[in-house]
Parts: sequence; C-alpha cells; structure tokens
Amino acid sequence: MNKFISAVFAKNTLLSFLLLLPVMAHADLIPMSDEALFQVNGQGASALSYTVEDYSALSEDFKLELGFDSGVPTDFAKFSLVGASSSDYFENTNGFTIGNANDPFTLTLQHESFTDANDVVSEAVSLVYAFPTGAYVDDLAPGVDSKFNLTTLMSMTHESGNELHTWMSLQGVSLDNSYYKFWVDPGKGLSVSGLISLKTDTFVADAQNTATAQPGTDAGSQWVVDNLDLSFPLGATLYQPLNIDVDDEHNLIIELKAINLSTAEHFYDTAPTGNLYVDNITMNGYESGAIEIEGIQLQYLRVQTRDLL
Amino acid sequence: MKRFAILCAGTALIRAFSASADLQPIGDDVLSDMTGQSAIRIDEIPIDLNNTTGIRADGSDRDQGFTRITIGADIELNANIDRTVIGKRPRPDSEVEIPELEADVILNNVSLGTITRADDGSIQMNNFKVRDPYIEIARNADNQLTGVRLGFKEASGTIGHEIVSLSGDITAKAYVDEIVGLNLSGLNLIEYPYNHNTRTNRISTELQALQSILGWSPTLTLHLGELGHTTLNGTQNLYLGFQSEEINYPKVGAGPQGTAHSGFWLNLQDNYDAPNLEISLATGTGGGLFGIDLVSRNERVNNSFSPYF
Repeated sequence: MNKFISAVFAKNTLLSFLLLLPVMAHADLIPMSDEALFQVNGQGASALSYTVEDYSALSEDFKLELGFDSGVPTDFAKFSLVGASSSDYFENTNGFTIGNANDPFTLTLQHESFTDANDVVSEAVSLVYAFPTGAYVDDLAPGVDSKFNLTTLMSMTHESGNELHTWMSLQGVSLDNSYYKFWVDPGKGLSVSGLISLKTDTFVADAQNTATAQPGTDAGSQWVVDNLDLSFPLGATLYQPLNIDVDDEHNLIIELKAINLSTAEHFYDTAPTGNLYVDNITMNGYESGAIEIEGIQLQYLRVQTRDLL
Repeated sequence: MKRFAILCAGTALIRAFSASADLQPIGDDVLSDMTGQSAIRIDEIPIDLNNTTGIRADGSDRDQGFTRITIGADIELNANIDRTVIGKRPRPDSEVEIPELEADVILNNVSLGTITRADDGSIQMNNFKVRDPYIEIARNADNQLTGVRLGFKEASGTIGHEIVSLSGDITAKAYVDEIVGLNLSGLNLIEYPYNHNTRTNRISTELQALQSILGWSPTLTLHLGELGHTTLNGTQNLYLGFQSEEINYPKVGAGPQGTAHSGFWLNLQDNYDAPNLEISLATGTGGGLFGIDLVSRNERVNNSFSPYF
C-alpha cells in the first residue's frame, strides 16, 4: 500500500486506481501496476483512472415503469450488457474489456480559463470524465471484446388491451473518445460540455404484439441500422455550456449558450463539428441506402418542454 | 384515436434493478407533492379499412395503423451543416425523376437561422424555431413495419442551402414582381411551383395569368440549386419520412399533404416561401414557340459571425 501511495504522490497529485462498478456483473478488475501509474499523464490536476475488464451485467428482473394519466403503463424490462461476441443476450455471454493502463477512463479535476476576443477572462474548476481513446484495442488479447451489446425490452399496453413489445439492441457498441466536462457557472448552475462519440455495428429495433424472451428474427417486425457512427459535440469549453433547468411551471429547459462576437472566432477555429454516418437502414426488407451528415455546428439551442394537454 | 399522456416528472417509478442496490418505489405521499407535466403524448391511430370512424370526408380506407409519440416542446436553434445526404443508393430509373441524382435528399451548406446586422449596428442572431416534434411509425394489416417519419407541428425561420436533390411534395410560394427581360412589372403575381416526385432538382408551374397578355403561358421553374435560401412561416405538416411502400400519414395540422412514396420523402408545402427572387428568361431551355421557361434565383443568407470580426 505504501508503494502505491508513493507512486501516486511521485506523480504530484495524480491519483489513479480502479473503480469497482456496483452492478451485478461478471468482472475481473485488475489493479494498475506502479509502472502503469507512472505512464499516466497528469497535468498538475487531480485525476482518477480505471479500466473495465471482462465486464458484463444481466438482469431479467429489471423494470423501469413510466405511468400514464390514463393508467396505461410503459415499462422497460430485461437488461443485458455483454461483450459483442456473445452468442446470446442472456445466456452464453462474454464480458468486454475497455481501456488499459496506458489508455484508461479518466476522471480529472482541473483548472481552466478562457480569454475571449474582448480580453474578458472566464475561469472555472471543471471535472472531466473521459473515455479511453481506443489505443487500448491494439493491446487486447485475441478474442477479447472491446465492444459491447446493450439490449432492453420496452413494453406498452394501450387502453384497448393491445400490447406493443419492442426489443432494442445496440450491438458492437464503442464510446471511445467521448468526454464530458462539468463545472459550475455563476447564476447558471451546473454546466456541461463534451463530445458524444458513439459507434455501433448494428442497431435492431424489433416490435411485436406479444412479449418474447429474445428479440425476434422476423424481418417484417424489425428496423436494422448498420454501422451507425455518431460524433456530436455538446458545447465548447467554458464559453458555450449546456445548462439544464426547470422553470416555475415545471417545464424542462435545456439551453446551449449562443456564441457571440467575442467567442465566435475561437468557436469557428477550434470547436469540433458533428458528423453522422449510417451505412444502411433495413425496414421490413426495404433498404434505405446510406446517410451522411457532416460538419454539424450548433451555434445556439434552446429546448423548453410544454404541456400537451 | 386513443390518447395517452406520460406524466414525465410525476409518475416515473423505478420498481427494481437487480444490482447491488435495493431501490424502493416512490410512495404516494411523495408523489402527491409532484406536479407532472404531460410533455410526452402517445397517439394510436388504428387501421380503418371501411372508414367506420367517418373521419375522412372522401370515405377512403386507411390501410395502415400508426403510433405517434409527440414531445411537447418549443425548440429554437441556430446551426450550420456542411453536407446532408440521405438515402444514398442506386434506384431504378422508373422510381426517380432524375436518375443522375445519387440520393433522395442532398443538401449542401445548410444553415438554420441567420445572423444579421440590425439598424443600430448590433449583430443579431435570428433562430430557426420548431414546435412539438414527433416520431410516428406505420404498420400494415399484417402488422409489418412500413414507415417511420420525423415531423413537427409547426416550423418557422430561414434556411440557407444549396439544394442538389429533393424527394417529396414540395410547394414553394414564389412572388413574381418582375421578370428580367420582360416588361411585366406591376402584376404582382404569386405562383406555387409544385413537385410530387423522387429525386428532383426543380419544381415548376405555368404562369396562367400571363396567358391573356402574351398569348401563351411561360413555365416558371425554380431550379432548386439556384435558390440560396427559403423561409418557413408557421409551416405545418412538415415531416421527413422513410417508407417501404406508399403511405398516407394522418395529418397533424393544417396545410396540404400528399401520399408519401417509398424511400425518403419530404412534405414541405405549407407557408414555404422562396423570397427575393430574381426571375429571368431561361437561356437555351425554351420548349419552342410557346414554351419559354423562366428561371429564378435568390441570394444565400449569412449565418456566421465571421463577416463581422
């Protein structure tokens, strides 16, 4: 233990250890070696890093229920998070491994500042949660999954008694390169910026009138999305945060701050843009062809919910 | 039609999650303190082969059933998108108007909203606005999925674009105040060029009002690639759908709506304007003595701060 602590302080406030995930799972979590700790680059900030090894989580007794004012329920039941090479959703499953000592998940507390075109300085202490970059994939042993499958069953029962059971399965998922930054903005509460990087080999939505133990294979009841690749920035550093609030009438407000003359040049020069690629969507055997949306640049966004009744 | 409303905040229950934590349902006493907002609504519109509901004045059958999920929300955004390609795949010549176009929808340099200098010299961001987005799925009598569409109850704002290919029912309002090369100023014609086809780059109409003056009706063609911007002014029945067969989606608001063809299909007909047109004689595209075409163009709008640095 002393050797561990020595290694930590030798890196000057860099703290690195494994996080034990609390979900019922099959996971072998391996402490990072001293050698590995020394290879983690801190930037004078406090950091926590971890990897996920041979992880999976299953539940056939999972239930998230949404109530309707008519008393008609919609619920999410069954949950499976397993390695992408698994031959089944709930049996004969494999775990997955994401990250290694050189390319871990990191949780970093850091000081940031931004000076706009009018020399106005913004400062904040931010908490950055970053996924591995994907470099770890090169070091994985043959047959070890670096991607995962996420599957759940959504069931709705209408007034008429009609039921709709929709299996939704993301297969071969990678979130490498995603990161989220959190800080407190005076007067705005919790602020967020970051990058969503989501890749899936296949997304299947299978809708049927009766509940099944597994997603079905009837093409008539399915949407199949091949090779979805989404990269979408949420805001830009300190000057374009995403804020979430609730107004006096309990409406949810999500606002991405507008860029302006003093921040626009930095935004155009450095902020990442979003892209969405899909190879194909198959619906009831009919193929859509590819979708390619490139260079998405959000300069402002405000969403305010309202009562529909 | 059955209508259900989700009480998003008030009645969400987490019954159980078979992990290491025991999560308890929220008690009635706690729930009674919450004010739910019905920001999500689910509408079920069943198949009606004999128009027994009598809701269609023409007595037509409805051979598809629909499930629509609407989010009650006002959304303002200002965004730029470099390239949008949707439905990129080879299609038989018989299915499309212009076989050379490689996708159902191709738009380059899209801007949603504008940035302008106000009379007082300040820079103003004019946002694009939509209300109540919804997703609707369609099923046939065999309960097979046949379509999905993303739509909005209402949309307003300016869209900058380079239109390469569009598929759908598109009607643009064109103001014909002056035709370059023809002394027809003062007529103040308003025409509605229209298209109901897959993969096109033009919409057109005959200027019947000029019949009595010229002795023939020139064709006004909006070559969509020449339009730098168009505007939506409270536009209803705006949607982009993906269908495996022809579908008559139920109308959500006022304004025209046609039958959606297979593939990706846009309905953009209500209060859709092509403002500030410069209309002139087409060169080399005349259809003989009585078929001189008119073409029109307008300028691209600015949606960037960069001109004002």
